Amino acid sequence: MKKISYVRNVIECELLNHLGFEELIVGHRDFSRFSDLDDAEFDSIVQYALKHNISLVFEWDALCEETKLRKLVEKFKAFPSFAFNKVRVLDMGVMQFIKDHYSWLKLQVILENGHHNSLGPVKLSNYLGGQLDRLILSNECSVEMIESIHREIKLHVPHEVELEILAFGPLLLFYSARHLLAPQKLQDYQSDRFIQYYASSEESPHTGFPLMENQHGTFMFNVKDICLFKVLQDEKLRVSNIIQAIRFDFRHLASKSEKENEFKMIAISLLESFTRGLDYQSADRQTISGFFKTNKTSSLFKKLKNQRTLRFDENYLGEVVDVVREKNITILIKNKLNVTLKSKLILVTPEGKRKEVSVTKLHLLNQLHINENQNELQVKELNKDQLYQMSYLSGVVFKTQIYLQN
Amino acid sequence: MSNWVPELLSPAGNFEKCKTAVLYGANAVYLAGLKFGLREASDNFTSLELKEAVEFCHQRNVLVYVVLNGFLHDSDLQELPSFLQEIEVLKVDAVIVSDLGVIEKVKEFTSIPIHLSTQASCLNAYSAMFWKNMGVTRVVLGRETSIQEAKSIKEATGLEVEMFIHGAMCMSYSGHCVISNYTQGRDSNRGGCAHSCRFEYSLHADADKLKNEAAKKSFFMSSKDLSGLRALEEFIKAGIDSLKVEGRNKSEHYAGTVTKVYAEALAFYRKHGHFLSDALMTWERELKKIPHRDYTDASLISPASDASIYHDREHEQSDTVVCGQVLETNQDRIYLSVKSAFSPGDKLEIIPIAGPNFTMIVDEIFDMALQKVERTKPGTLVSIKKMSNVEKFSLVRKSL
Repeated sequence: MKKISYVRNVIECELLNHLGFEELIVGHRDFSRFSDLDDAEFDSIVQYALKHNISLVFEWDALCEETKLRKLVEKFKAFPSFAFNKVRVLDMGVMQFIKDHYSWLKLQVILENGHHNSLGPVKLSNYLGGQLDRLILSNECSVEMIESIHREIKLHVPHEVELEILAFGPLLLFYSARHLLAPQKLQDYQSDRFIQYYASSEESPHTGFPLMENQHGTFMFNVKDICLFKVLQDEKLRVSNIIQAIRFDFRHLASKSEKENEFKMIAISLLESFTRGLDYQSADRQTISGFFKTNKTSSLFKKLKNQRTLRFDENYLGEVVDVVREKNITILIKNKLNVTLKSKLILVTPEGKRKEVSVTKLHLLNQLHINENQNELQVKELNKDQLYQMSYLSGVVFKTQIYLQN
Repeated sequence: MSNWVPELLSPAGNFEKCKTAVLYGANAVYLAGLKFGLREASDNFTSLELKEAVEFCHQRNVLVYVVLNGFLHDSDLQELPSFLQEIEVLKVDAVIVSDLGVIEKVKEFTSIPIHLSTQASCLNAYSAMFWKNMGVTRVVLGRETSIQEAKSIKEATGLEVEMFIHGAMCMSYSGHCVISNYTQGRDSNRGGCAHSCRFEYSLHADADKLKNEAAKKSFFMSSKDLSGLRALEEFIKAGIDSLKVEGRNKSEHYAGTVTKVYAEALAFYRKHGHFLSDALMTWERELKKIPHRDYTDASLISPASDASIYHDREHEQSDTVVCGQVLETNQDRIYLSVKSAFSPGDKLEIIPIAGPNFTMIVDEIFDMALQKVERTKPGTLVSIKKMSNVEKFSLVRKSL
């Protein structure tokens, strides 16, 4: 598996190349969500990489509204064509622009949101053809999902497509185009281009979500970083053939202005942990393995819904809209059905109690004042959206669902 | 002379809301089956309800779009074809999709037109062209897109363009928030969004000081609600094909009021070719009567500013409370399904299906055993004297 990381200056470029990172990602503040490199800084890295034959990937992962995209397209056109031969993109519009105008540039497409099935990645791979170099998969993909994506690409795509995951780094939870921190008038606010804060939610036991704001908007990260070193070791046989590239992102652990030695120590320590199959230990940041082993994000929510208040079968008749104790029940008919005297009704309350009753009295509410004593019901098709009354039945409450028994 | 106006697309969280939106003037509704959408908390539609809803809408020349905009997993995709075949038989007018895998399934199993959900964050013409190449016929643009940008996208691609005109907004790029996934185990992109952006947060530059007094408390991620009423003319001049009202989880009161306001405004423009009317003030007042979080035009004209942040706890302001919905009428009485309590002597405001609202003082109230009621209870049916011609499903509310 190729090891991939980010570089922010020539020193990092030299070091990571020396440590065996096969591919380095470089951003530019205008194009990349988390890069603050200006033209000169960017250019110095490009020149160094060219000189030392380092594989450099240009990161264009900011989402772009039409106006922003037009500006960036002009700037992109001004880059020297030899600067890089691969571009990482998140916005499908940026991807289409590169496909339309730069067919010689390889594409690495970031599928960090969605694409949790194999069908989409297969379609995208075939659409981009040989121009597609790699798909960067979501942190929410479990190993089973990745296996499925890999298998289907092998079966249905006639060219090689690499799959990449984030092996270590911050988990991006939220990406907004709006500037949310600057307006807070925080006491210690400084008008840096990059504002960094921490947030704790009143509703979550977790504290200290890192926040960042820059010209692209506002970002929130998880309180824990993802670290897959141990699970990648445990699943070595399973993943060695399906994942071709793993990404290390430790920019948040050492700012680019910090001493070279500090960055170097973290890089070496991370690589050692990875090689030994141990999760990286840091005094500042805890780690999780995310959803790599299994993704159960929808199991909890389904339990919150009261299935008993939903209507399910062809024999559904309607819903109780009123109950007067010891007197009557009013039902709103929601389905055209033939109800006869002695038809059996099944009533299911919101609490799940089930009652069966034979129809002995049922009349249109509109006739309440007209024919109060009506107590017989002939064979009759009940009309939808009309209110009927029947005799009181204990235990039946508002929102009880009514079905006709076969 | 009749002037062109866009389609008004309203939310239908369940069959009752669907009927309400249609009767109050929607040209199209969007709704979901029990799976595959992004509003798991909404009632949504069983197969039988879907069938009835499509019949109900088509009889009134109202289009039905079925939402399939979750980011589906392989296991979900296996279940999808049978549902797709079911809705194709019903002749739904389009599906709203955000995932490429789902688009492939729709194309494989049906010939239903495909609309790209806002969840895919389509923000520019190149992106729209990509999705056009994938088979979509309409794009619902990301809410970060301005009306002028939308116009450019439409002109560049020839696609139908839909934009949100009203309702709650994600603070993040749609589809780019997974806070619920990591903090609550609920997949925000498969219908489980926990609205973490509405919570209050403590903020500090030093993580260790988050719990002390120095930390600033803020609802910094909560967005005001979108209202594009004042931008209607811009939408029309830009040729935006469809104007969407957010809110499948919201009430009949919301669906009915918002739909009625925009339907009336569009009808006014169709007839007069402008919005120079005192009615504009009435429509704005109406929109303030439903629960909302303060309004913003967000990015419709220029990128959303500080003013688009709702610096307050999650509560929706409203000048009124809905008392109920008319379920039946006869010569003398109307039968109200009570949602909020009211008493004899209260002044109720009736929102008729068509025409201006009117008020009435409640006389006697009777329950369904013909007993007098001193104060109504939610979850009951009561009858009150009929004051004017009130249609079934009309909403009734009172001022707070």
